[in-house]
Amino acid sequence: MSGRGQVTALFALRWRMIRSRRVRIGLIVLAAVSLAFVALAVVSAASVPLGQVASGSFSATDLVTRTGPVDHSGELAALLPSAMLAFGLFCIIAPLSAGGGTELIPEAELVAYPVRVRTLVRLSLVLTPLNIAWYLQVLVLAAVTSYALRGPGGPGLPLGVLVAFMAACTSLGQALGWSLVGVRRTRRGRRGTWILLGTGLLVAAWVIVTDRGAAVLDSAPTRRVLGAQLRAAQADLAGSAPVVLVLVVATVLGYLASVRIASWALRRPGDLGIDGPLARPVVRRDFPTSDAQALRRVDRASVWRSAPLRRGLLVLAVLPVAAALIASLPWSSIALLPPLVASGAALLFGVNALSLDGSGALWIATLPHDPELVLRSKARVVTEVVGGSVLLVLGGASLRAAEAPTLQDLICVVGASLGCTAVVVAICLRLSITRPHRADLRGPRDTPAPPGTMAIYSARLAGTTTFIGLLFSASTLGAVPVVPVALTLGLLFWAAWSWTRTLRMWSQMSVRTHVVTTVATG
Amino acid sequence: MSASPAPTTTPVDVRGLRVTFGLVHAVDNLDLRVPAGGSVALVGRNGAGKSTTLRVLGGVLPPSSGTVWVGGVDAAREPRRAREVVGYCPDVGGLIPRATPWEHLQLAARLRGMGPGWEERATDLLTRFDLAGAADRITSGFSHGMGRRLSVLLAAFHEPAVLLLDEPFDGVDPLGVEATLEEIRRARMRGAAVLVSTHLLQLAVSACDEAVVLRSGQVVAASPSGELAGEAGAARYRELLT
Repeated sequence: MSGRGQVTALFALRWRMIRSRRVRIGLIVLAAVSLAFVALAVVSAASVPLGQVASGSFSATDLVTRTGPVDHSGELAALLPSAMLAFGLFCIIAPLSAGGGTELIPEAELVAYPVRVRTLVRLSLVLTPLNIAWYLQVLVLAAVTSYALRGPGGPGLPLGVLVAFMAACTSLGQALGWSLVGVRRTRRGRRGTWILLGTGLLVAAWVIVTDRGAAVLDSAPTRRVLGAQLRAAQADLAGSAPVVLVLVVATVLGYLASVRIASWALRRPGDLGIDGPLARPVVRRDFPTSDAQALRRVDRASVWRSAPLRRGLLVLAVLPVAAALIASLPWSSIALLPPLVASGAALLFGVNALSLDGSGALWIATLPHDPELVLRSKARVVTEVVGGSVLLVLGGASLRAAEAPTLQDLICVVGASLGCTAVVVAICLRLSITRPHRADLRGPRDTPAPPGTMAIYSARLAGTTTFIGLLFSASTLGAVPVVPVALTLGLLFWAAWSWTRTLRMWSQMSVRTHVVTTVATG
Repeated sequence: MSASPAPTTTPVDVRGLRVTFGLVHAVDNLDLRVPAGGSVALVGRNGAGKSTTLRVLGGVLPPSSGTVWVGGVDAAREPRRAREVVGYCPDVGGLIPRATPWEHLQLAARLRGMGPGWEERATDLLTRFDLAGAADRITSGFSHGMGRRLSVLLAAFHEPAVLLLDEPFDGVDPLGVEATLEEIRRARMRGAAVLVSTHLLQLAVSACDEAVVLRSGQVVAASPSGELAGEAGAARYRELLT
């Protein structure tokens, strides 16, 4: 069967594997809504009237305070190279953190079939839009391009250049991601990547400390892409063609390199990391003082010893913090960070927290214990990961905040952090017992649920947390502390109510049996 | 579910057990008894209801109807107490993927409230099952056979009154099989009831006094295991399966 035939066959198989009619309908709706949003963003941004040219710097408060049409196209066009640079970096980091890219069907389940490496790479490329962070950046870039670079013939040609840029970044990111998978199969390779990461962090710290952020962004290679977009907007096709050609060639080379590198990476013998025979033995710990502590220890170890979870946590710890440090954000924007980070952290494993036990869930179920302790332990570990990620990004952002915070700012940021963490944990635990999945979380591309389900989860979590974040962000503009306080209390109350319902469901043996047998045996 | 009869002294006493999943009867009116010090092999084709029966006895799965007594405890009404007297080796995996054997044993010792002698018992079992060298390694790196051996070890760890072993010999090397057979012998000697589900007929004959053949969730034959030994026994077994 040809590579394309295999892609189609595997998609058909995956579709048939979705037993729930609701999930099928949800996926179709999600795909339609996603496409509709992009179209809406492009059309509405292109039809916003351009009035007088804005003076001074653009800020979110301008949207509230200014009246009448104002032309921000120049300012937004100036931001485009930085936004495209961020997209490019994301395209590199996303497959790096996902161990090469997204899997349609776990590798272990395909081992008996002659699936070509080319098929795996194509599937991974096709599934890229399921990453909500990728999609949101595409949405923003398309909207900004349509608004700021509309030419006499509309935004079509600049958007074409943008599409070529996105394809090149996504394709090259795949190649780099697969390279890392291959390199990290040996201890020496893993050490090398740590050194590389450390060097990258040092360079980033140097850029931040010496205030060279603006200079770095000004010399970004994405300025050439903007140049090509500007020429395309003026229907100067010959002027924009060289950049487009380079981008198309980069896309093709990135794809071909991905296939070759993935083929090498998947065949390369490795020492299998911490669960291989060469791994150092785990140090024994003292006897736990309580049943709860015993379960928590195992759950925490299950998180830290999982390669995809460790990598995801590292990305969550480094990327938003670095971005916040470089960007020097106002407090109204800082209030948006906890919700975004919380939903990202939850998607690592929280949406299917019981899968941490794997097939051992069946064994644990035969031990004499209070079943509530098992769920409480999972809730605690999910809270630690989500809350820890939120605290890290807040710490980073507050170090380089654009201005000193007011009391209102502090209340909003703390409220957003507490409220979002509580809501996200409550949603995660609920999903964990109502929609359990078998997930090993062992291989570099393993996720806690199938890709379609993960897309629905990420849309749901990101939608909820972004809405909460916007409420708190808007609250920073006001001067009435009672609003963010009431909002926080409301969210905490909802989370507590949801958690109580989840515990009540978990107390039913039939529910526990369903969850345990699903995560243990599929 | 029907009312429980009076407590029984037989360690495993199952009467009229039914387990249904939707319209499917996984186990249909099953009666089964295993006396103290006795061992019974559950044999049959895939989907005959062997693992489902053991999961009910292990307190993981609630019965749809019937009574299930393990170690004098009604497993349906008091599943937590039932788990105290049962040691269960699941048919698949049964191990926390990123925990070590020692961490499994420590968790079991804690949740079972075992006394200070647990470390000695754990070390002895790890040595007998040839897992002492891997006691502090993550189990996701284990071979299938190593995983099976560890599952049997964990089931036998607290010297339960009822030992339930689901496919304990699957993919296990001869030394591992020997260690498992030895553990079954020891359990019986201390008065435990042992129930073994397996597809390997000759090992079932070696390990158990009695064999119960299941088909479509029902008992189709129960006889001394010796009657299924040899070629004649195997031929009779094949007849019972079809």
